[in-house]
Order: sequence, then C-alpha cells, then structure tokens
Amino acid sequence: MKWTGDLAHFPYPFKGSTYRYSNNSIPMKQPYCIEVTSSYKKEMLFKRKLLSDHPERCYQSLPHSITGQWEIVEIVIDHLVSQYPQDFSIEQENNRWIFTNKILDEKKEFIFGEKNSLPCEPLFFISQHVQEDLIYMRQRDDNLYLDAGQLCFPANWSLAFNIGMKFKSIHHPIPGFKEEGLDQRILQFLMRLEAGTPWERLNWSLMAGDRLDTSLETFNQWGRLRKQVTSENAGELVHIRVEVQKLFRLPRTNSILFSIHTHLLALEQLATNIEWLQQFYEILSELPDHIVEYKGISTYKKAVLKYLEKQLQQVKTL
Amino acid sequence: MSMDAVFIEGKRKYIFCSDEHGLRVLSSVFENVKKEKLAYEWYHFSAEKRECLEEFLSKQKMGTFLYVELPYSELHTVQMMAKRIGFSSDETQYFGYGEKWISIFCCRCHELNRAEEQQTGLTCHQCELKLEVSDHYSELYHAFLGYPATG
Amino acid sequence: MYIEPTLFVRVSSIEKITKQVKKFTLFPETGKELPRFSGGAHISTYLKIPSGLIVRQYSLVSHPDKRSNYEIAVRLSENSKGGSLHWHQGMKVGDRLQISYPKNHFSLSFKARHHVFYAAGIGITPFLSMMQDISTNRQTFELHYASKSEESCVFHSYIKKHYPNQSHFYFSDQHQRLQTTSLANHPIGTHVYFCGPEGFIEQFRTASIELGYPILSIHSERFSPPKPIVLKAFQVKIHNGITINVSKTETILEALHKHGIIAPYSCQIGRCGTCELPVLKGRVDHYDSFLSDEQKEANNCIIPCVSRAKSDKLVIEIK
Repeated sequence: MKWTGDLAHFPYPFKGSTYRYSNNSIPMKQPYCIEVTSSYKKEMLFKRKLLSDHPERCYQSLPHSITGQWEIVEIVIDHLVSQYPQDFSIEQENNRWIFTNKILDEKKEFIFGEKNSLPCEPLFFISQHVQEDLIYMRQRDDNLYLDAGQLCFPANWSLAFNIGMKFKSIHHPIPGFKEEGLDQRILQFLMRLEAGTPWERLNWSLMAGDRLDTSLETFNQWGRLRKQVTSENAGELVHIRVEVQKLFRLPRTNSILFSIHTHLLALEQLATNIEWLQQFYEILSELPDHIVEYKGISTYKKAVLKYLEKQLQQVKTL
Repeated sequence: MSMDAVFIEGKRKYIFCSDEHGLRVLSSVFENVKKEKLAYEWYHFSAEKRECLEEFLSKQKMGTFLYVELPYSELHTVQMMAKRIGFSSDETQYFGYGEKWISIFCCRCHELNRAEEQQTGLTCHQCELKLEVSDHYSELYHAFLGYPATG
Repeated sequence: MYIEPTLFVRVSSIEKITKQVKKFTLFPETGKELPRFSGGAHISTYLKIPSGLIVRQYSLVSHPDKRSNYEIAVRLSENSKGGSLHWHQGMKVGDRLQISYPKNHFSLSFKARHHVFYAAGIGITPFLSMMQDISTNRQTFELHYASKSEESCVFHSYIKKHYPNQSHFYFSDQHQRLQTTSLANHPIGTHVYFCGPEGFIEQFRTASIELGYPILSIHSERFSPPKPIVLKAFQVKIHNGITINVSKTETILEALHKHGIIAPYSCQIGRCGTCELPVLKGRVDHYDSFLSDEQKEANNCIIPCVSRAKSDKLVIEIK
C-alpha cells in the first residue's frame, strides 16, 4: 500500500547525516493517538480481514488486561470524536455508549466496562476502527510488560511470541541495543511517562515490496523479494517504511498505550525530494553493519545505494 | 541460572529443597547457614510429594529465602509453583541438573517443539518449516523463538 | 522552564472532617470529565498567592473511576510554609486553581499475593484508593492505622464501615501502639506499604529490611517539593578540546550547538534522555526528570538540555 497523500505530509524520519538507535521521542503537539488518512477505508477493510483470518497472529491479550483495554476504548473514541467530529460520534448515557463511525456507516452500542456487551474483547473492538496497531504495555512492579496488543502491520516480529514479555526481553534481538544501555534508558523514560504529556517518535526501515503485514509468521511470503532487488527496480520495489509511534500514559491502570501508524513510501517517490535523496544516501552509506543487518537491508543495500547514486547523478546533470 | 549457589545474608530463615542426588551446589551455602546458626529447614523432594511442597511453601513468612536444586524435568514446575505462592526472584535461587530439554516456538505456526539444549536448528513438527534456534526467550511459553532458517 | 500541562478546576465543597483536616471537592471547569486514576495516585496543585506560586502534592481520595470530581484531604500542618495554611484559611467554594493530571509513584504491586498498609495520621490518604482497587480485584489486604485519637482519625468511620475485617486502628490516647512486630507475621508474597511522617516510614522500612524483606516488596511515599532552579553562568570543557561558556540564560545543549558541536537531542525538557552525556569532572546540578536518584548521585552523567553545573566548570565527553 503506497503513499497516496501529499509528500509534504509524509513522516520523513531523518535529521542530520547519520543514524543511530536512540530514544528520539518528542512531546506531541497534537495530543491524539490516532490519525485518519486518505487510505482509511482501504486499510480498514484489509485490517479487518487479517483480524478475522489470523486472529492469533494479529491479536493477543492476557486476562488481567481488560480494564486497560477499556481505557484504550475510551481514549481512542475520545480522540476520534475530538479530531474528526464529522466522521465519528459518541452518545453517552451513564455507561451506555453508542459509537458511530460514519466513514464505514456503522453504529455500535455497548455498556462501558461490561465485557459481555461486546462480541469481542474491548481492544479487538476498537482496533477495527483505526489504522494504527495498538499495543498495551502494563506497568507491573518495576517493569513494563506487553499484556495485550492488536498488531496487523508488524515490521518482522511476532506478537504471539512477545505476549506477556518484559520490555527489555522484547528488544533483546536488536543488536547493540543492550550493549549501549539503550534498553535501560528507554525503559526508564517510559516508566516516567505521565498522563497529559504524550510523546511521539518515528522509526524506520527499508523493505522490498509494499506489504503492510510483514509479520514474522509470513516471512517466507515477503522475505524472498529482498533477493530480487536490482539497481534498476529499486526505485519501484524498495520502500521506506516509517512507523509513527505514539505513547500515552493510561492513568486508570497506570499503563502505556503504544500506537503504531505505518506508512510506506517507494524510493522513487522519496527521490523526488532532492534534499531527502541526498540525506538518505548519506545515511545509508554510513549506516553501521549491525543496523543494516537488523533492518534486513544487507541483501540489497548495494543495489539501493547504486540506485540512489544514479538519481543523484541525474539531479546534478540537470 | 548461575552455577553456584550464593549465600544471601540477612534472611530470618533459609529453606533448602532438593532430592538425594542434588545436594552438590547447595552444600556450601548450607554449611554457611549452619555455621552462622541461622534458622533453616531442609525439604526432601520427591515428585509424589509435590502437593506437600506447595502446602509447605505456602506456610512460609516474609523474610524466607528458598534454594532449590532438582532435575531439570522437575525444576520448572517447582519454580512456577513458588512464584504462584509469592516467592519473588529476589527470594529464590534455582539449580537444575541432569538432562535438559528446551522448547522452540515456531515463528510461523506457533507450535512448541522439543529440542536438546545445544541444538541450533530443527524442523517444526507441525508446519515443517526449517527453524534456526535463537536466544530470544519467552518466560510465558518457557520457550526460545525459532526463526526461518537462512541458507 | 518546562511547566507540565494542567487541568483547571474549581472548589465545589469544603468539609471539615476532623479538627485539623479538611476535605476539598474539585470539579472540572470545562465540563469535560477528569481522567480516571489508579490506586495510590496523587495530583500536584498549583495555588497562586500574592507571594508566588505554591505547588503541593495530595493523594486523591475519591473513587478512581469517578470522573465528575476529585477529592483531596489536606491537614493543616503546624509548621506550614503556606501550602496547607492557604488551603485551610484562604480557599473558598468557587475558587479556581490548576492541578496536574493524576500521577502515581506509589502504585500497588502487581505480583503481590497480599498487601499490607501501614498508615500514620494523614498518611492514610493514598491507601483509600488503593483499597478500592484491591476490593474490585478481589485480592486480600490489611490496614494498620495509627492515630492520636478516634476523633482525630481521618476517614475512621468510612474505613470501619467498608473494611471492618481488614482494618486495625491504634489510638495513642488509648495507649494502643502500632508496632513493627506485626511485620514478622506476614505470609510470603506480601508487599508492605508505609505512609506517614518520615520517622514512621524509616522505622518500618528498617524493621522490614532487618527481617529479610526484599527491597522491592517494600513501598513508601514521600512528597518532596520541586527544586528551585539556580541560574548561574559556568564553563564546560569538552574532554579533548575546547572550553565553552554557558551563560545564565542558555542551556548547555544550546551552548554546545552554538559552538557547532554535534550533540544529539530530542525533547529539550529533560525527560527523554536522548542528549545524555558522560561527565568526567565537576559537580552536576541535576534538573531532569529522567535519571534515577542513584544515577544522579553517581555524578557521572548529565542531561544537558536542562541540567547545569554546581561547580564553576564541568568536563564532559563527546564522541
């Protein structure tokens, strides 16, 4: 699913001429955990199909996460209604809620806090109305645990395996992350997150193909495309994958909502902005091997660099 | 899991739980506890007495430290039991001996596969994907993640 | 300086519940409901008085799911520097003030098998919402509550009515003493929580540690006033290079950037930790809310977007 909006609105992730892992979080200017884009309808249909065809891959929860799931329902509906009043509305009479999604022409009635008033768990329900993947991290004693999540568009990881896992264990596979002490630093940052002060960060990787659902479970379907990248087709085939990650403290359960909105942009689209082209070329040329490897770029890094060089040459000769 | 039991000072009572084979790593700590004239109890474990152990552990008060040395085949069950009762990782040390098997979580079909501790690769017995054993561990599944084998 | 986002509320009622304690009900000014909170949570209150801004923290004593208003209980302290004195004497129904979003630095342990609360006097306040949370989770708890007398015992009748089997009162005018000996009787998996005067907390903490309680099973809450910022100029030397001046009005990070030194950063309010730098020499004046107390005491790192130097010069390392 390619970027169809205005390029100026693409969440371009780089600053400077080098990239290293860091907690590049900033306080949000618009404190909303969700965003509705022009591909809303298309992505919702796709997401719902994944959720119903592969529920164990796309949805996991531990029994004690239900109160936190209701908190997510409350915050997501509040943000949808405040930000897009023409598309979403809520009628509340005590605990009886009627949620209307005008884009999909749907009306849902339920009793807030009453699990049996919905046909599925609260997080599953609300995730069918937003493009974001929604992850619930519960603060238990001195750590954060992935206690529930709806994840349709992962960047090569498995929610089913990571459910119930501590923050540092989740990030164990990232080379250099622990060695540099970053896992402890970011955990510390997250544990101090406060209600009323949400944060946002961008994460990126490259991928061959334009699939949103690059789960670990389906690696054998999409991973092979990496071998087909050449400097001729890279512009069309290779995409930069940017995750807009938003972090909210949920005050009722003292937990964290982590929403992930994934955007894909073909390199040929990125290359139309000359500053981006130049900067991305510099960053990729300099990128340390362990990051190249972890982001799955090793197989086709040379081809991409060659493609970018060609584009830069053309710009210079113009 | 470290190889040697470490004596943890300042507890009001020490519990040693083991079967007759598994006394090796606990003996030095045990000598220490005796020398210091500290309160202790030995629990002689056998698989049939697992329920008694649960009752015994549940009766303990705060300030108790638990040392366990058992065959790997029993260790995890006892570990989970102690955790359920309320013994935290700061109040316990566990040591296993004998044959050790590990579980491998198939990244494609989520099936748990049994493997030997040193094994680096296997084929998932359910979906037949070739897996590479990683060191990414899940406490919830008590299993390591198996990634798609490369090459 | 960074000021946290706040909510505007008005005082809707003031109730004198004991000789020294008043309960205040605060309702949202905008009509939008207040956030829910978790057991043990508190808010910061911001009071504007002629001599300046008074910031004080109070535990929320209303129900965590109640969004129409918040309740706090304020004890008039004998040596009040203005906070509780103003709450007791200056505050009227209808007055407007700013409060922070609810925060929780005293939350219930998740892994605990049993919770035991030890309260002295006004230290009872965080336990009210904690007990409500536990009752809905169907976990077990006990409360040991010391007070001078039954009359001065805050929320006495409420607690007695709702938690008759779990609560134990100790009134010193009746020669009842809350002692640390009960700590020895708690079953394995217990977490203990202390709230009250400093000396009370210290006595119970020490006793628990002597019995062999793990540190992580012991919880206590102390409210500390925010640290006033000292703005003075100083110098920063880069370990293998130049020395730069940091003026009264700029941050270390700004001064570094001004001199063309590449130093990573992100939030610029001392929270995210991205700009952390190693300190080789000099004493750091920490103003961030990122580093832990231990990390701050170690004096070997700094968050340069907000923190400054206590000494005249700092030597830092930049790779």
